[in-house]
Amino acid sequence: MECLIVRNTLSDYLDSGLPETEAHQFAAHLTGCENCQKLELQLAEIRMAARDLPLHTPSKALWMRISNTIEAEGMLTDPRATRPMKKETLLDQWRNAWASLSFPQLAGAGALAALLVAFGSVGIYRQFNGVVSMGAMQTSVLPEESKLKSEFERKFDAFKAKMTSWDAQRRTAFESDLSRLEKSLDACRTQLAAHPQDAQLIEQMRQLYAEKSALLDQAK
Amino acid sequence: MIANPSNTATSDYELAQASSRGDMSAFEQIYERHHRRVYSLCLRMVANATEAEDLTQEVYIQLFRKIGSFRGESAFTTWLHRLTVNHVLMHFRKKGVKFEKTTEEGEIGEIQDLIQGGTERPRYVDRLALDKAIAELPPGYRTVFILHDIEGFEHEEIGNILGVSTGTSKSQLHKARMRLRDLLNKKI
Repeated sequence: MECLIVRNTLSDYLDSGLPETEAHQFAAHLTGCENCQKLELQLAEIRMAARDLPLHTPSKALWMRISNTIEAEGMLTDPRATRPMKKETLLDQWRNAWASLSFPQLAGAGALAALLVAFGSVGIYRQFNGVVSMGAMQTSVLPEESKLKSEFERKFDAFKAKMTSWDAQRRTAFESDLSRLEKSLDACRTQLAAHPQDAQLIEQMRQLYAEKSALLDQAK
Repeated sequence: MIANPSNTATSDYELAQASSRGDMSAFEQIYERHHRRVYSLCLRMVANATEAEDLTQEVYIQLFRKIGSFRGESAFTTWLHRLTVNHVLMHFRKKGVKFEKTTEEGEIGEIQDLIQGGTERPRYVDRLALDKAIAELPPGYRTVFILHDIEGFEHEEIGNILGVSTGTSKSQLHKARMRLRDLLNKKI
């Protein structure tokens, strides 16, 4: 048997993957060939060491990240259940868009947002000078929210009578969509309370109310 | 294939059942038992700590979704490791990682130089050095080496998982070992 053949199929020999006759020829060659024997020992050592490699430890925060994601995705109630794809609200889309931005894009967007807020604040101040003071804007997260809210409630009250004729599936789907929009609004409201001047959040709130209204129109 | 820590107080199967009912403390125990092996497997396959953590996170989230389908027919570790391997391979596909193409006969020319017998054999294989050397392997060799020599998969299984022939899997394993030998010899 030639060295070249032995060296090309040595792993098969080490893993007992050769037919008996060939394995005997291999063994005979190895006994008489010092170079092939060296190689065999080296590969055997690597093979043995691979079974006993040290384990690595991830950061301690990893479990927290996992459990938070599981909770956030609402998998705790019944992880086996197949869930329909959630319809993304505008807030979800906005969050996803931010999450996918690279650092330079984020930096650019941040600068643009700062400019918008600066110009927007001046504009709003000038437009409502004497009517809505800057101090009032700090306390009211969205100045026209109460108006938007009452408009929606009026529309919804008139709509409730129609819901009684719906079947359970339709009612559940509608309530689920409405509830998600409410949650998005709550999240947006909380963020807006922390950043009352954030023009994008203000716009987001308005769009969420528009989405709620559109939900009623669609259901009609 | 992979040792199952069945001597622990609560079996993996019981913990899996409890986790499938939404018991997070049971799932945390599963995490505690297996996360180092899952992370090490991810780390060795991708050779990047941040990516390995992200993959480990994804594996555990997927595990939580699928844990109810574990019926205890195989060892939990085997099941979990297969889930991990599949997830990492899916990650490779998404990233467009190309595995080395190898003929079943292997590339004889590449190891021609070994005939000269010029390199001395290492006195022992340092585990840490081997771990580092594995990270230097090309992705295809690395994957086959990890699956066969570390995780204990058979060539047939590897062929099925990677969509290659058994001969290709054997050939890549041999090349991986030869490359590791070169890398380890260089470090001595």
